[in-house]
Amino acid sequence: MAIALPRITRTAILILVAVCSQSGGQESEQPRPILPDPKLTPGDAFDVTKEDICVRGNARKVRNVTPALKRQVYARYGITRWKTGDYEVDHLIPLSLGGSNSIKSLWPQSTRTSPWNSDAKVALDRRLHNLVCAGKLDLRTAQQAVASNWIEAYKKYVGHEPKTFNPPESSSPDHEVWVNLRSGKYWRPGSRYYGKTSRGEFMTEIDALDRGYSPAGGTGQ
Amino acid sequence: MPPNHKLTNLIKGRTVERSTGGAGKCVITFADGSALTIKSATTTPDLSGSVTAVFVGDDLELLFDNGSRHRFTLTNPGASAAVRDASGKVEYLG
Repeated sequence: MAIALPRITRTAILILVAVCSQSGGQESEQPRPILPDPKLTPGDAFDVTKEDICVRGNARKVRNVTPALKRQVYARYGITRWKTGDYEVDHLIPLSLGGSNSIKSLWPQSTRTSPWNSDAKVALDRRLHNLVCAGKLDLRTAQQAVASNWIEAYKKYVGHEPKTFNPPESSSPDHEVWVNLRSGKYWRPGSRYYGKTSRGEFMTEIDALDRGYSPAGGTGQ
Repeated sequence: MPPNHKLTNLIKGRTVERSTGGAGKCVITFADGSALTIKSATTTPDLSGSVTAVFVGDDLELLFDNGSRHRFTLTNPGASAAVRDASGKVEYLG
């Protein structure tokens, strides 16, 4: 049975949960997979052709991963605590190669491992997309390569190992905004309404834009 | 089930011309020639009216201006709905 809480209490709980789960202040002791579990994430693709994917803006058009779905992905991998920026929920078969938003294609990819991390995966995704659209690689072959072992695919199609790097302690290109679900406007960190409207949800800014929300007042501040 | 603003904004106002089904999918063709394909085991209903809202979770629910609403259980959430325009160009996948 749902318990009715005062608005201020609900807001405080929301902020507390967000802070505890995403910026705990301690280094996460959770596993950091560099390869997805094939049972959990075999990869999944839409029924699309090369002509469908080789269109500018295609990936942005089809991206649709809700915060709730991301939480499911983390839970499936046993990740209960993480800092913002530790992981990216990656499409194993990228959207740019026709990958779907099904949970079968999503996994939490480390941004902090080196050299095999989300930056390397993005480089592979881009390379495969270019090869497919140039007619040098079959779409299905590219999908299978990245789904079976993306690191091996990187070695085969990119050709050199990615550079190692020292990950920054806290960086978040995927920073979160607070979306007022009633108005459809979102607020960036630092705004007086960030995390404070009665009906809202945290999500990355790119997710907010993809779901049709827009920055409040044009800036979100 | 949450509203899907992306899909709602895309097909809101489009009028159903016909709906056909079979082999685990339903195809809803709109008057402008575009089509929404839903992979679902749900029997394809006889739809009519203009779309006013779309909700998507494990199911996909369509609301129409005539007050009717229809819910489809998705075969593979996240990969069961597609909208293509009259020329076959992808407008939405999800």
